[in-house]
Amino acid sequence: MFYDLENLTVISFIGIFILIFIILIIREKKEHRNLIIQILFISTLIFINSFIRFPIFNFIILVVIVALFGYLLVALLKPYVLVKKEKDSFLKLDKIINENTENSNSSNENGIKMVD
Amino acid sequence: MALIPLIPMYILFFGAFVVYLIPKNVKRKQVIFGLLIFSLVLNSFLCVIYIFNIFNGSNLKGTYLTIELILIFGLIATKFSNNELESSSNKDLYDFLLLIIIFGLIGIVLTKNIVSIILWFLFLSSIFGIVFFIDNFKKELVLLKLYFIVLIISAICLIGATILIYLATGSLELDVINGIQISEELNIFISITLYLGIGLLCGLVPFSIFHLKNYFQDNSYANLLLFSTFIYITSFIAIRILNVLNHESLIVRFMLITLLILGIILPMVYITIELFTHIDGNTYSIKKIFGYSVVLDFNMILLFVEFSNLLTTPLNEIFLNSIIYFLLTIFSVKMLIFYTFYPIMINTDEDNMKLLGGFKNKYRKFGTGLLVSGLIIIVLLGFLFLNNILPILFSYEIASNSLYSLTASIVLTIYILFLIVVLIVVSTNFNHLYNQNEPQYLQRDSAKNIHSIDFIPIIVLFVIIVCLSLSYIFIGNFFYDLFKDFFYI
Repeated sequence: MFYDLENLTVISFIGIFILIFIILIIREKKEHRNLIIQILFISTLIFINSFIRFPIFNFIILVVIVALFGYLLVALLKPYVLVKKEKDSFLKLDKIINENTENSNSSNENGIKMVD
Repeated sequence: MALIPLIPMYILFFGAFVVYLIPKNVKRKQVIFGLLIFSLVLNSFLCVIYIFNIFNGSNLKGTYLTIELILIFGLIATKFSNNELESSSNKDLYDFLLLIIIFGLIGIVLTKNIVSIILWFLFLSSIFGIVFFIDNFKKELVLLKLYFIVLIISAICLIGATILIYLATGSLELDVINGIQISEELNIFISITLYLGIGLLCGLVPFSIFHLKNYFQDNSYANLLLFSTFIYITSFIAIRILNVLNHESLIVRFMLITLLILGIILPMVYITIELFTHIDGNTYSIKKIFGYSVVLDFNMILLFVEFSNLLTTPLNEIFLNSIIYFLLTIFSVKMLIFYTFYPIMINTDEDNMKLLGGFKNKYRKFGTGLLVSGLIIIVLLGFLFLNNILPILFSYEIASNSLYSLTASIVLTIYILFLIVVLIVVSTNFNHLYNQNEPQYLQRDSAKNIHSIDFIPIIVLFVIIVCLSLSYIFIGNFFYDLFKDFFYI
């Protein structure tokens, strides 16, 4: 009886998860969709994990969730890294511009003449 | 895993998604309140039934009570988050995450599988990170660099401890592990890694409060309240896991006690510095003070639990009873103090209350809240609690061993220091707000239209504290009986 009830809860939880997943995909709501699906997926996995009595499966789920966490962190950090890169490229641009202006300063007289 | 308490979990999991799809802010808030109040009523009904009856020998009283606490403080936190990210497009995501956090807090209490407990812990702490920089990603992530590094370190520690536990016992279920003896060397490794893994993030090791500094200061009041609830629930879970491995050697015990004492003293120093150094008027931050005091409570509880391991059975039970009373009371008192912040944070994110003009004339309920909580701390946690634990701290068992009696006197001193620091916090806040004739600093923000707050949550919290104390005084080992099965004592 007890185990049947446990199976029932796990199955119904998975059912709810799939329902939410489908609705999310159909509704196609903005930019948060991936984050929300991942959070729901991770929490469902952890929830199911507490019903599993086989340590090997527990460890497999552990590995999967840690990988998902890694993915989540990378996805979160990506814009940050990109911003940093942009900053670097801006710095490089600044440098190039400075060098150019210096060069143009050195050849200023010619340049003015050329323009004129 | 118990099945009936899963109903609030279902409601919150499904509700989180429903809430996310509601576009209007006001309606969304109403739905969240409805969901939380429904699960609260349901859970309190079950809680009352389980306290007065025993069904098939299963004791879920402790579990139900803890879920009840989570739901009450989750409700208060959602009330606090009313004007969080008001004009932002991420408001719906924030509300979704709020419910998922409460869902996870219930999950961490319900599960008996170590892997699940650890995964919930890591999941919740990473969600707390996401909630912190949800609206202003590029700016805020820099502040949380240390937080995420500590999170990764604690994840490594916890996963290592799990693998070691599995290798030593062949199981991951807490109730199976409870009966198995582990070799001493492994026990040392496991308990140290568990302490580091759970405690690093919540401020156990002295240096770890540095990573929480930015988190406390730059966070909103609602997130701070949720995070402090998380720390208190973590202390429940820490007692639970660590009780399973209570066969540590003396050396490890004293090492951990030293670590915990250091972890208590550093936040104390930080709080006093925060309170009394105001060269430019900018250092005094009520959020940081509150956060550090929660870290202080966490360390204090773990210190008491570690000390209780030195005692033998009859004294051990009485002492643990007192510790659980201390935990529940300090939790409620902190929430009482925090709830009175509500009118301030609904107006502004300013955390330096000296810079809030017009505060002291218009809002006197905060002062009343501070006064009441100060009285509770002096009378209940000062006199009543000390009256009950002093005979244990200096019993024959402790007094006959010089090392034990030294430890007992250190613990007593630390506890009295702790009380003094908490009282200083309360009285200094009171003094700053109500005793100064003219604000000496520049006013950055003014508390113009302070809302009046509901007195109902304050009365509920007060009644809870009074009931706790009455049952502590009149019913012997009441809390021990309630939480006996939850803590695997």
